[in-house]
Amino acid sequence: MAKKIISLLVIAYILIMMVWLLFIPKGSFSELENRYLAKFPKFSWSALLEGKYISGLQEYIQDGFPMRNQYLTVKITCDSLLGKQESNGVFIGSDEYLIDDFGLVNDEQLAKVSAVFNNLFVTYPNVDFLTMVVPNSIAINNDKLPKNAYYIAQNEVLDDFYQTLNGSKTLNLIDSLRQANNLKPMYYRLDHHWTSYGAYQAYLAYCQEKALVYQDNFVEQVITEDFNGSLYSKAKIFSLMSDEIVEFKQEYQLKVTYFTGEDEIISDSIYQTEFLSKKDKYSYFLNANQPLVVIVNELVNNGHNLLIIKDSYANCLIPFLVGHYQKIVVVDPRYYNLMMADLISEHEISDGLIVYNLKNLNSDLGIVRLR
Amino acid sequence: MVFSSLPFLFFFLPIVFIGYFLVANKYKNKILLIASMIFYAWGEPIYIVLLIFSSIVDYTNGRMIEKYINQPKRKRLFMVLSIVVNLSLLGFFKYSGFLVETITGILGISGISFSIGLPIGISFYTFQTMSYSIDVYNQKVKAEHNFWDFMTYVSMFPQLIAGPIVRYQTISEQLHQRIISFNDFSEGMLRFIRGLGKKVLLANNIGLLFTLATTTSLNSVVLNWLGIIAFGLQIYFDFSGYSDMAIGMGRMLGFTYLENFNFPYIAKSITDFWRRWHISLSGFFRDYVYIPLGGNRVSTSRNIFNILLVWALTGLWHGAAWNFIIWGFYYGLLLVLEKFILKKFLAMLPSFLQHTYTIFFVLIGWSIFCFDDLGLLINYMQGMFGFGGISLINSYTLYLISNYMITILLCLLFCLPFIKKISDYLKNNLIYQIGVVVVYFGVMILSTAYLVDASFNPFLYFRF
Repeated sequence: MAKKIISLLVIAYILIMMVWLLFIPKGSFSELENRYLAKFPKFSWSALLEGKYISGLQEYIQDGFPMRNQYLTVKITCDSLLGKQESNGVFIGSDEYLIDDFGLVNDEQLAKVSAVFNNLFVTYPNVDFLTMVVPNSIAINNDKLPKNAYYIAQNEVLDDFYQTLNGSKTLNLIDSLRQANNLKPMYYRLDHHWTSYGAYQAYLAYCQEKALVYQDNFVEQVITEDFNGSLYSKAKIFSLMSDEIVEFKQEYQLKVTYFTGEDEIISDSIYQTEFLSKKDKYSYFLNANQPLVVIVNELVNNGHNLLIIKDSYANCLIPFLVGHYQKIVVVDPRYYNLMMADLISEHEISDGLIVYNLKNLNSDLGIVRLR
Repeated sequence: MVFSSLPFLFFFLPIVFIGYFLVANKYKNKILLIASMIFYAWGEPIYIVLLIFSSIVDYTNGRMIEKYINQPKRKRLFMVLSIVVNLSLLGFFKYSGFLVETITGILGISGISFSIGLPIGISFYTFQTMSYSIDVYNQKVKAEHNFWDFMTYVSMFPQLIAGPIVRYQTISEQLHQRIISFNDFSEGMLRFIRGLGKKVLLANNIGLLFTLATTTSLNSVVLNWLGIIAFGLQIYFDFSGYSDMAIGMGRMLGFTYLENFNFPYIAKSITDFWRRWHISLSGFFRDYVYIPLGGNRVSTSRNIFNILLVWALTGLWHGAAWNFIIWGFYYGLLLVLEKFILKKFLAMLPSFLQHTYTIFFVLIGWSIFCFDDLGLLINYMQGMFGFGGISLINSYTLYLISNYMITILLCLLFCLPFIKKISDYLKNNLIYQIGVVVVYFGVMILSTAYLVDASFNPFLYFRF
């Protein structure tokens, strides 16, 4: 009897799923996972013979499976019942922290990056460079990692990397971030970026290193309370409490030009409010990652022009820096592949700042193309 | 196509079964044949030609052997032809790259390489068609006269790509006439769900531990043992899960296949292990290689040679690489030792020592099996035995243990006949029956959930 009941249940289940899969239209973008879902593949004989059609179909069924998010939740719940302490390369830490695994040190990549940077420093001796490699959450929130979890001590990696640089000031932020982390979160719980609090600590250290007088008249305000960042999408644990994004606001008179690669957008703000209603809310800062951004502060006239070579970690640091420079030129080498020389002479660059998070520095291939 | 995938479960399977049960009995084989062709072509659109070719060759051979049944020379010719054609197919598509590599290696020539994609399932269907011709030759079975039915037998999708190796004589009657009751169908469905759960929930999960343990530089003695235990569990649940799914689907379609696994990890000797592991393969080598070579009725030295040869071939069947030959040879040696020396002593040991002995050598066997790089193997094994300054245990090992302990325990539980015994005992208990419904349906949904995520779902038999 039980057998027949199971049989009927499973037949019903499979048929319902099949009909649902075939006849009910589905979205093309997954907000939760922050990615486009596979489309129905186009048929061609060559695609069929090469197996591309079939693998496309496979992906389509995978991505378009009815109740996909509910199934993912079931899977993740089961994994955690089994005692799994990580999900898709993300550690499930205490206090609802998701912590991205750093992986292993890629010495070859770091040596290449160091050579590219040194070449830059030698070529422009008149530019006052500072290199800021930002540690990742795993280095600061390691007390929240699962017991016995293995991770690389970023302090040593950072120091070793800095040793190889010639002609640039360097900043190791690990101690100050760790200390400040006791009061305010330096990193998002569900995203791989640091928070504005983290960036503020870096700003203080930067000012000290560059002998600048830091500003303390920022207005701290919460701009959203439902930020589900990249780690949330990667680990797919949809039950965690959302992050809030805090910004440090200051009124400036700015002329900001975003070179998107296709066109130029001129604005008076380094923020893009429309991202706050989207999934990727961190893109609020500096309008996501653009190949080139030029920020002119019309009230400053000190002759200091700053070139920032950066990844997305810099996006929430830049609001602190605009008050100190006449002009800030921001380059993301992943998307910008023209010569630095042209930028440096065109914008009469006096200062240089490299901002990269260690994980990207250790793995990103765009940075090695920097010229 | 593989069974443990969403397109198979929620697209192919329901459509095929609806078609199969809607048509009249005389068309069922045709539906099955068309379905099997689509199933095969799904992943291997070109190599389907080989499958058809092998079927045509052996269909013809079978008819010819039957025609010349009283002319020993002629009928022998067609039997030999079957062996030559099938082994040539296998030799060319599976072993030529390995052969070229070995020869150039010996001659010290570099720069020449030859590789050709291995047609999926070729090791299974060539063995099936070959066994058919040999059985017709030995008059164990009558030749099949209907080509389409023969083709249906060769290509039947449940066992096409990962076995078991089904002999024609096992299903020849059912091929022409079968009755499918809802009870049989349900029985088959349960078997299929068990297999699916073994593959998707147990094998894939424990397989992650194996991958982690064998790709880290943070090794410890315990970690290396854990890794190899994980592999042993992974390949068992993966392979026997596939067999369960095949046997289950066969049953749902009205075919009764023979069992392929019988709790191999409770074996008390290596000989016993191989009576319980991949039974259709060891049976094939026994009946079509070992016995024709003379079996036990030869001198001791010849017998030893035969055993070693059969096992080196069995190893080679698992993949075109040296480690598989060594692995087969290793088992050949163990079996010879057991047969001629150890058997008497083993029987005197308490049974837990017999189990320990068996598991130990099976695990060593798996390490040979899973590393195709000899350097890596030696390194890993040194670690297992504490050589090379490796620590007994480290915090990474503890971390993996805390992450995988429950999975390991679940796997071990399902290696034992314990649950089967309980369910036989409680069969008629109502609460138990309700529990069974919940568990099976739960396994179905959980397996779907794991397939929807699909971060780790390897197909282990691509080399077979």
